[in-house]
Parts: sequence; structure tokens; C-alpha cells
Amino acid sequence: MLWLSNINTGSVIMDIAAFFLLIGMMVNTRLYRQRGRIDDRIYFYLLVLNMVVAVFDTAIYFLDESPVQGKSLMLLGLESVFSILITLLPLLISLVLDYQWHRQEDRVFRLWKPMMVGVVYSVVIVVINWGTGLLYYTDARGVYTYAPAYPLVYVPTVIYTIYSLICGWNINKRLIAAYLILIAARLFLRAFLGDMSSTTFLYAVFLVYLHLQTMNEAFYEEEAQ
Amino acid sequence: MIIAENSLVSVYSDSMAFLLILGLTIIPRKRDAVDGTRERMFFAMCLLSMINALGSCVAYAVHGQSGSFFMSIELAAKTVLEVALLLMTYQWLMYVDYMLYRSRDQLARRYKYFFLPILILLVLLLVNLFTGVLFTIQPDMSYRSTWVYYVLMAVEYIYFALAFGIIYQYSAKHKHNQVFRITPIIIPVILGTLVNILTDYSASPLGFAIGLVLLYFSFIDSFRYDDEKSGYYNRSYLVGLVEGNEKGADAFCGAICFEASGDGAKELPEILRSELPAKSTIAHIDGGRYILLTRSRRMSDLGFIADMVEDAAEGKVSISTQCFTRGKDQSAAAFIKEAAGV
Repeated sequence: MLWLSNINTGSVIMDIAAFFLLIGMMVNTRLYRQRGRIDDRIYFYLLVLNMVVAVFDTAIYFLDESPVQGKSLMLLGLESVFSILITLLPLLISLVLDYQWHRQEDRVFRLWKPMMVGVVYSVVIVVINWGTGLLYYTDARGVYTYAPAYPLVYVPTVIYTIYSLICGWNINKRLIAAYLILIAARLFLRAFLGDMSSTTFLYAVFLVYLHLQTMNEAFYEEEAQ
Repeated sequence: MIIAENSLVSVYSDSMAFLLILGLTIIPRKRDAVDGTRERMFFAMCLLSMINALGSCVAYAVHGQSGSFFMSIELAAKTVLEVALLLMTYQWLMYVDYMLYRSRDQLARRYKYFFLPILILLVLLLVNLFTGVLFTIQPDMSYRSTWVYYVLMAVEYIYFALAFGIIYQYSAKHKHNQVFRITPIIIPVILGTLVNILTDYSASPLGFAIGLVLLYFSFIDSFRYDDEKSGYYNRSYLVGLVEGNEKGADAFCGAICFEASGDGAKELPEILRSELPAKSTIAHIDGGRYILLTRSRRMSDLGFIADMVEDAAEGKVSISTQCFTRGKDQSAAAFIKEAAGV
């Protein structure tokens, strides 16, 4: 497609698919937002954030092989923002699941500040990367390259995910099974089918599972009461 | 076995479609205790969509591999996905009709003849495995389709479009809260199909998967205001009007409460449907109580409507009616709250 390689085209297709899925979910969960609970509000922020991440990811893949002048700097900027935003997704998921487990709004408001440490960590390493190329850089030919230390970006994500799994274990074990299936799918597809992006789409799929499993159930429990 | 890069994109996309629908089918949700028919029809569409995605995934995974073994697998996989797609479009047509009219008799009456072309095409798809009457895989690994294949595609598109025509016709005729939000469903399906047609990549299973998820989400949302049994609004809609979450309350100046007891409660919705205009705003309050909200505040108008319904119910159902008009200084919310008792 255009100047894109097959892999990058596939990534763009997945990001666009994620974007449409998220828009549709946003339209169709309108009445839940009127309920006004904190998990409904955070869920809305998750949808919006995932859409923004999908847009940034698409832009990165479009720029990666484009002949645009100054793309190295643009790619660095986009990837920096992307790395920070992608850390917010598992953070918000863990806050939603924490509320689903404890049902205490105050607890969420107390928790989010210390949990922002992971996001601060992401900002710090991104800034360090600007001067050192510790995580990613563009080489002399202008090719975007990941450095060996790139997995450092995932440290907060791993910690938030572990906390989410603990919360999920106490809410509903099927949700945990779904979360683990998606993580396994991501790793399998990356290992055997190449570097195509599926992160935003898989997060969107998890948000579908989350709504069907926990928020939908809770809605009907309230009505029954 | 090395998968070509463009096939890799399709395998990826079809795998994601499969995962998405898998979650929809295995994650427990509120069981449709009221309407098992709807639940079964939706589950059938999900299953067919998964088979379609799987068939497409396998077909693209082996595409381009030399040897008659891989060519046979590709042919079989493509046949499976075409069968699933054909059945899915027929199921979608029936699902839409049932969601709007809630009548299994109507389904049996209207759509038995619609199955005939499907049956013929299913037979042709099986025959195609041995004769190539629809499509073949050439020695150079390319597809070759015959004109009969375009007939199959035309039938699928016609059935799909017919379903949306039914939705449009129903929405234009009835004021009742729309059963489907069409646009979020149709856009991914069309986009996926366009990507399939215009490029070498498979995206239509992904488009269908997203469409099915959004279809499900659209009636989770509408559960809030839809009364499953009668097809009218439910109590939550009235509460929404009273609390200001739903617009339009100010337009209502009159109300008639109808109440039937015992078995009559089941027949009352049909009587109301037959006697009252299609665009009437009717909500099911609870049990055998329904309320009609009107723009007229004249007691003579309300009395006329109440008499009309009572005459239609005579001999079948014992009902009582009570008319309310909104006071000049009374707010819409207070009026609805008083009339409906919510």
C-alpha cells in the first residue's frame, strides 16, 4: 500500500481496525457513562487513550518508510509520546479492575498517585533516550532501529499487568484467562509472524472482554437490586 | 513452510478476527432468559464468522506453497470460508427480521424461499471441490473465478443489503427506539470488504468480527431502554425521561395507563400494537401495566383512544384504563412520574 512494506501495511490495517472498534464501543457505551461510576469514567478514558495510541502508532508506521524530510526527528518525537501513552493503558486498566474488586472509589483516588510512578519512569527513560539512543534511534540510513535496552520500556507495563492479574483473579477468573490468552497471542504472533503491530488492537479486544465480563454484569446486578 | 509477507498480513488479520469473536462467544454475559431465539441466532452468526476467519487464515497461510497437497488444503479452506459467509448473510437477514418483528412464524413464512438460492450455491460449492465450477487454484498459485462465483457474491451482497433495507423501512415507519445502530456496524464491514477487493490482503473477516461486536454492544446499550417481551420502551426509559437523561419529555402532555392482569398481560402489547399508530410512544411500566404518552392534553382525545383499545380488547382481555393530563404549571418530569408511578 503506497510506500509501505507489507508488514507496515498490516500494522496500519490493525490500528485502523482498532480505531473503528473503539469508536463503536464509545458510541454504544453512552448510557453507562451516564451512570457516573468511576469505573465507567476510567473506561471512557481508556477508549479515548487507546484511540490516540492507535493514531500515533499509525503515524509511526506511515513515517517509517516515507521519503519525508526530517522524518528522524518526527519519528523520535512520535515514538517518545507513544512510549509514554502506552504505559498509561495498563495503568488505567489496573485502576478499573481495582475498583471492580474493592468497590471503593476513595481507594482509586488514593492509588492513582503512587501508581503514576511507572509513567514518570517512562518519561525519564524517554528523555534519557533523546541524548543517548538507549531505547531506539534512527541509524545513518535513516532506518528506525530498536536498541538492545528497548525492553526497559515494558517494565511499568509488566508491573501494572501483574497487579491487574491479581485484581482479576479476585473478580472473575475467566477475565484472567482472557487477559493471558491475549498476552500469549501477542507473543506468539510476534515470535512466529513477524513485527506487525497488534498492541492497540489487542488492548481494544481486552476492553471488549472487560465490558462484557465485569461492567455488563455489574450493570444488571444493580438493576436487580 | 514459509508464509509470504502479504499472506502474513492476512493471516494476522484473520487471527485477530477469530480472537475477537472467540471472546464474544465464551465470555459469560447476562443470559437471554427472555428470548433464546435471538441468543441462538446471534451465536450462530458468531460461529459462522469464526469459521470464515479460520478458513481465510488457513487459505492465506498455505497460499503460494507449491505442491498438490497445499493446493488441496487451500481449495478446501476457501470452500469452507465461502460456505460460512453464505450462511452468515442468510442468518443476518433472518436475524434482522426477527429482532424487529419478533415472530418466528414470519421468519418461516418469508424466508423459506430465500433459502433456495443459498441451497443451490451450497451444492455448487461442494461440487466445486471436484469440478471448479466456481473457482480454481491454478498451477501458478493464482485464483481463477468463473462467472458463477460472481453470482454467489451478488447473492451475498443482495441479502446483506436487503437486511439493511428492512431496518431502514422499519425505522422510517416506527418511532420506537432503533433496535440497531446501523452505522457503527456497517462501516467496518464495508471497509473490510473494500480492502479485500482492492488489495491482496484479507480484511473482511476482521470487518465482520468488528461489526458483530458492535452489534452486540448496541443492544447491550439499548437493553437499558428496551422491554424485551413487548418491544416497547421499558421502565428505565420513563425514569430517564423523569431524570432528564433522555430528551423529549417536554413534548408529552397526556398519558393513558392500560392495565391487564393474569394472562391478559401477555396479549395486551399485541392489542396496543394493532390499535395504536406505529409511532406511538408506549412504555412497559411493570407486570401488565403499559403507558401511552401523547402530545394532546385534551381528555376527549385520551378518552377516545382508551375506548378504542377497550373495544378491541373486549372478549379477549380484561383491561382497565386511566387517563392523565399535564397541569399547566406542572413540569414534564413531575407529570410522567405521577402518571407512570416511577
